[in-house]
Amino acid sequence: MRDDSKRWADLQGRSAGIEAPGLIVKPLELARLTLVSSPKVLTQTKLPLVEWPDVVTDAAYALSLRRDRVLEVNGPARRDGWDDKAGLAISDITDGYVQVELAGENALALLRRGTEIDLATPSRSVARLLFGMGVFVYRYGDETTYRLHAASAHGEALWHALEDAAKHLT
Amino acid sequence: MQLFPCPFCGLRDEREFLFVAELGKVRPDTTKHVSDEDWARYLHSIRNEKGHVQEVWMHLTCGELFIMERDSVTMEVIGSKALRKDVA
Amino acid sequence: MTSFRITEPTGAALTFQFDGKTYTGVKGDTLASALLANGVLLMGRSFKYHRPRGPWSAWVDDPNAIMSVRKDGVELPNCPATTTYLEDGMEARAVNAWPSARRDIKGGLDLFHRWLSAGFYYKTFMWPDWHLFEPAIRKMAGLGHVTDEVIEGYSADQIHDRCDVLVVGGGPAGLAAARVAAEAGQDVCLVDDHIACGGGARLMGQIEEMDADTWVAAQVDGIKAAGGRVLTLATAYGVYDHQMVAIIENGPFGRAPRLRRMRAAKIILASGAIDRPITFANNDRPGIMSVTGACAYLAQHSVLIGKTIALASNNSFADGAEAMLSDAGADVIRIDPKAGAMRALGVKHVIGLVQNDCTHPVDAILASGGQTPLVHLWRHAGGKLHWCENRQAFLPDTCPINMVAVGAANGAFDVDTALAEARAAGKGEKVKRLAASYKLTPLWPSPGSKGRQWIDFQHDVTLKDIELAARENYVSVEHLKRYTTLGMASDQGKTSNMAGLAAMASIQGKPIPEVGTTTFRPPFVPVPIEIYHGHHKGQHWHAPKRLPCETLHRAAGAALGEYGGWLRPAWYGAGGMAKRVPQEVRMARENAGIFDGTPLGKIEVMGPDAEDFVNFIYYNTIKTLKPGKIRYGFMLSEGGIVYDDGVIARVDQNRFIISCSSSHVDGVRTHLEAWRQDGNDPDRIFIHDTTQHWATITVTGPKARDILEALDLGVDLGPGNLPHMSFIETEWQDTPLRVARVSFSGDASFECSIRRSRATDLWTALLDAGKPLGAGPLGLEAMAVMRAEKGYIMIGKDTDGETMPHDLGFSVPREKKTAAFVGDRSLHMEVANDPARKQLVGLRVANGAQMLPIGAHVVSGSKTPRSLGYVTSTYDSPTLGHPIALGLVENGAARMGETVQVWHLGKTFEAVIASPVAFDPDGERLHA
Repeated sequence: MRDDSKRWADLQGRSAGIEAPGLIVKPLELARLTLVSSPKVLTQTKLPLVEWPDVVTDAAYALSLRRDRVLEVNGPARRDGWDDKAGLAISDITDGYVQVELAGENALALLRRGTEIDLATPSRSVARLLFGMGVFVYRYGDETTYRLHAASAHGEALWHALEDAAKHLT
Repeated sequence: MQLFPCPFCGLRDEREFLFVAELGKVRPDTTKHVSDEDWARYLHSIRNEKGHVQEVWMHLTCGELFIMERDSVTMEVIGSKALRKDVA
Repeated sequence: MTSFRITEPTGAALTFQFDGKTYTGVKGDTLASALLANGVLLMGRSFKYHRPRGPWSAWVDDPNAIMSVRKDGVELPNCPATTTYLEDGMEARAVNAWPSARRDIKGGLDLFHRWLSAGFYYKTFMWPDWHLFEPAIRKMAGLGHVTDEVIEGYSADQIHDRCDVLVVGGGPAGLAAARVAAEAGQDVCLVDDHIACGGGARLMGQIEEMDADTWVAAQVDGIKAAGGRVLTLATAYGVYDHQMVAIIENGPFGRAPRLRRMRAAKIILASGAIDRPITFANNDRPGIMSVTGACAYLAQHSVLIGKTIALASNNSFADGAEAMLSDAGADVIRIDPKAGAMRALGVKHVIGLVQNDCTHPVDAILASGGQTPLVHLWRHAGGKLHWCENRQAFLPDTCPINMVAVGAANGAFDVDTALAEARAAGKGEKVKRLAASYKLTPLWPSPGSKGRQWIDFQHDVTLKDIELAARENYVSVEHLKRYTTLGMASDQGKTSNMAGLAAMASIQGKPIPEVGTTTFRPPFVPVPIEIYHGHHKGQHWHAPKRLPCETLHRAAGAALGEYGGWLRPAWYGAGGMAKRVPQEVRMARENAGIFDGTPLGKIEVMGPDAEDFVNFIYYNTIKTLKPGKIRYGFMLSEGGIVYDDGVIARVDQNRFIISCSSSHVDGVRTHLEAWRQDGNDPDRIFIHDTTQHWATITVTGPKARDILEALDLGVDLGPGNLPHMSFIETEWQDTPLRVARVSFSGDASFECSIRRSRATDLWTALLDAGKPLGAGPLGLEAMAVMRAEKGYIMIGKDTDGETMPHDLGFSVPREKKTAAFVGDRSLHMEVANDPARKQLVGLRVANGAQMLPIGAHVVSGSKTPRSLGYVTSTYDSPTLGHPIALGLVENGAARMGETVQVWHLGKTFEAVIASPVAFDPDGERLHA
């Protein structure tokens, strides 16, 4: 095995984010993320359910991920494991994702560098591939602000892809 | 680049999908006697049809396993439906 | 008299070089038009014979003028001079010519043309071996050279886009179609590959009783006013599945182009048509140009190709061209190409045209053998073509996707019919092919005629080569193409394919449509590979996953490597792998090592049917596993092959945590998900991959427990309360912590899992606690040595695509497990019972003998030795002080104690087959 430590720069602090024409990208910290699965979780969740291209305005909400799964964002604290009474599978996954917020008129143009996405094609799930990485994408706060969740270990790669793509914005 | 209809998510581009199998294979009950021939057929026989096919695909981002009907020559997608029995 | 600019240019003057000489052009010029304006006609050399070549046309159909262009330290090879817009300071050089296109030293090759016919290389360099000749031949061949300079910031933008109607081509038809569609409320995007729209309108004085330029501007304004988009310098180069059109957008020289992946609900193809050459003797000489090419240079750049011009055309477009050229001051001599065989005079510049013993002294010969519609994109989409006898051309017929062709691309060569078609298409009405005033007399190559007559200008395929190929029975156009390389140059046969297949039709006495066309494939124009990868290149091609403690590892001097998609510490500190790895092994064996195992899978399986499900997924019986306990097991494929190994922990009745191999997490998750939904009740089983939430730090070695005690967890960590293969859930500094007694090293180990955001704190705390005890960080390479000492396998290294669990010594479930499990039946097929199966063994060498090489074969002792298996892992064990090895050997389990020969690259070694477990065979240290 050779030493490849110089091929990749060390993890970068991203507090400064990215600024490009019509776009501001900033890292985002969230208090709690919980995976909740159950056959009827989409209809039974008490939090506002978020699909594409909904605009969320609440502090706590549930991302529709699949037919039987949501990701609760800033939801109630829950105990990990199988809740037999409620019939819910629950996992705290707060540290499983890194979050990025993209704001501005070019935010969607940036996303389109990494995936075939548009507001005219709705989807019941916010999960998709962006630059080849699994992410959750939805609108938060207003029509041109987007939140992105990516696997924590992909955080560095995601930031790099966003930085590269942002260079092409005019 | 093809667009496939996930029964849950709707149209997504092909990079999000994984081919799983041709439709119609049923796993033999291995707690009972299964002949070598039957097991070999289950493992290895594929029809690989030209034209209209029915296949099982997975939408990797949402995990949905579904049945897709398509044309293996023209790449036209005819339709898709969930593999699960209890959903439309 | 050579080519020249007829009016004083008005644009900004641009200075550039060609083959070392300095010239001046104007803004809006292409390299080709600027050179023609300066009287330079010779712009390149042909591929094989190094014949002098000038441009045949003014745009993408030119096969001749190809240049390496340098500007501001950026050099790009193979730029077509006809489509490269001039910029100040460009330095262009003709490719395939040295020292210049004018004085090319290989020009003499043309004298040997008699021996260099089609198939020459295939036939000549067969004996003794093509590969002997290949390097020298390759050196002679080829176009521009790629420099090894890195172009800073040369990174292609890739964007996904969509529209209702994509119009390809900004000529009169495209503009009219786009405007009608946009005004009907459709989301329209029009692409044109020139710097501005216009297309064929540039060659027309008036359109619909308006000045042509004014008409074009009005259409562009109309499209934009209706909300449509107009993209210039943009070429739609390929149509892909499900209405996806690839568009390359060029910017200034040296900037990487953009790839726009346009998903268009409807595609209107208005790509126009090109002139096809006339096949006559020496028809490749500089100064012989297409009629529309010459008219385009005149209309767009005020460049006249010569003073005295022969105009040889078989079609009614020649009249307009004659008027245009005459108005510009040229003396035009009309030649009827059907009146007799033609021959061009001149070498580096045409000086005359001979027909029927009559010599016309001319500066240029303009030729048109008819219009060929550009139907490339139509064919990419799978559209059918039909042969039109009137137009002597293949025209669009039916198309399987939502695509319509209009204008010249559809054979509507006059503007009025083109506009009528285009507006119908724009409105979504059916396009009816209307009668046209365009007339032509069929004119095709006549095999057997005298002289060297070029079919493919760039690749030097002549009519005689086609005849030779036919004699040698390469009659299918696909064979003809590959044998002669017809149409395989960078222009992909835009000018040569029709002539080539017409020649073949004539030789065989068949009608042209029966011979058919070769396959049209993207890209329509050459595009740089850069646009296909965009951001995904270099270390970002498949970016590795990153550990939360990476910065700490780097600070500790870690060498990092990619392991199973993660960037992980291979070893720590200076001195290199050979020195550091044994030191780390000894440290961990004597005291303890602290290892970052974060990538280990943590996939939770929950729900009422979780127990049955994991019992079905695993080879081993999991049903009997008690809460708080851990079991080692295999996941098999249905073919019975070991797919993954790892441990599974049971938290409670309805919850399991699968700790699969670090590199297999994504695969295992998909494997589980597929079985969950297919054959099980997905409402009673739920799979959460929590790998990313948890970091895992493992402390291993005789002092591991002492180190953990320093964390003050307040729980009994002794083997009584926390024995090997059990775990506890506790807290550290108010953060949930899972401590599992699982070992990959063979020593007592504690795997500590904590949420990712606390990983650096835990790593630091464990290192601080370990330091006084002689413990330190342990890299992956040292761990690999330690697990091999213990005989623990790594999937894919110590197993291959045939390994079943009983080959690894795990045969009880195969014999005893009654419940169904994935791969079960395969373990009882004939192949699974073969006594010659390769089984995992240890390989010991004599005292002082050297280490066995990795991949070395264990061979049978007979006169014709054969491989019985091979070495899969081999290390010089720091713990044991001698080499150790693992291998897969036929019937290995029954060969314990047998001495075998091990062969590697001509060298033979001796080894004794032994148990894979070389360290702590009784497990005293493991269970401590």
